Amino acid sequence: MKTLISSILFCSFLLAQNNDLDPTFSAMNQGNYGKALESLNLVITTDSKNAELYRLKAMLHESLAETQEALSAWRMCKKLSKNNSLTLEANNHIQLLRQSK
Amino acid sequence: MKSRYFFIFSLFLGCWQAPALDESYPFSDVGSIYLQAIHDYKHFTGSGEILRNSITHSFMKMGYDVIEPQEGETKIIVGNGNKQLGFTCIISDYTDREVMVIPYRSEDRGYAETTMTQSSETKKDETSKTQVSSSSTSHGGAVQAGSRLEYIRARVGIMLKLHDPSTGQLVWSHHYGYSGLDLAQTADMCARLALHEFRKIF
Repeated sequence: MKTLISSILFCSFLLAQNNDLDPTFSAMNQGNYGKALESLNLVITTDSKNAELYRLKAMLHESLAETQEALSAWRMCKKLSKNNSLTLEANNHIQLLRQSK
Repeated sequence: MKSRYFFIFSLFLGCWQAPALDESYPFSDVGSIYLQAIHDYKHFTGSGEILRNSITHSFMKMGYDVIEPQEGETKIIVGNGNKQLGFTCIISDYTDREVMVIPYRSEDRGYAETTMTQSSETKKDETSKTQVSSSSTSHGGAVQAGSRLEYIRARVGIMLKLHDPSTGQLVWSHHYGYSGLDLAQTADMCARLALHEFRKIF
């Protein structure tokens, strides 16, 4: 039992450490979307085919009112997406951003 | 037996192609829309009021006249006709903190470290001697397949209906969902996207 509790505590500690080390997450928590975008761009260079990363990138651009950049990120997300709900979400955003241009 | 299958198939086809807009309705006769009170999303006090404000704000930005005769009552002038339509909005989703986890492939490509040492020595007979040495170390790096990125997003979903109160006829309906990083901004965007369709009717 003691071993189990110790293992759980150790795993929680490791997960907490992992979150603390995530620069995108911590920058977003502080509301610093520009900094979050910088660290996300580094992540995208290592995994450029990940549609979910482009979704986050697009939402960060939207929050920064960068319409053109958000639009191209959503288009990239739609292109790479293999998930229907993600494609639908990307379509919704593209439609609205086109209107607001 | 065949007719039963045909009936089921027709019913399915009817549902599949169910129109969101009743094109036979005379929209040119409509003068105003009455926005009914929007109920809060479960356990989210004030969500109805926030969305109502977003909707009225969007109508105003689109150039329609918005009148609020009493608290909680909103009338939107859309034309010169004498008919009035009821506008209902149901919040189907209002999530302020949805934790999203993105698994991604990360790769540490390694790096090369070069150390250069330079020393110069001058002797009395003015002949100089220079020694340069360099050492290079390559770090191989490592491929990690299990990295993940976490963030929190907001989601808003609304179901909209336009009906004629005199006949009870449903003339327009639609459902919209939107996501973003900030809840207030997401609600506003959702309302804007939904109301954009109104321009096609009025």
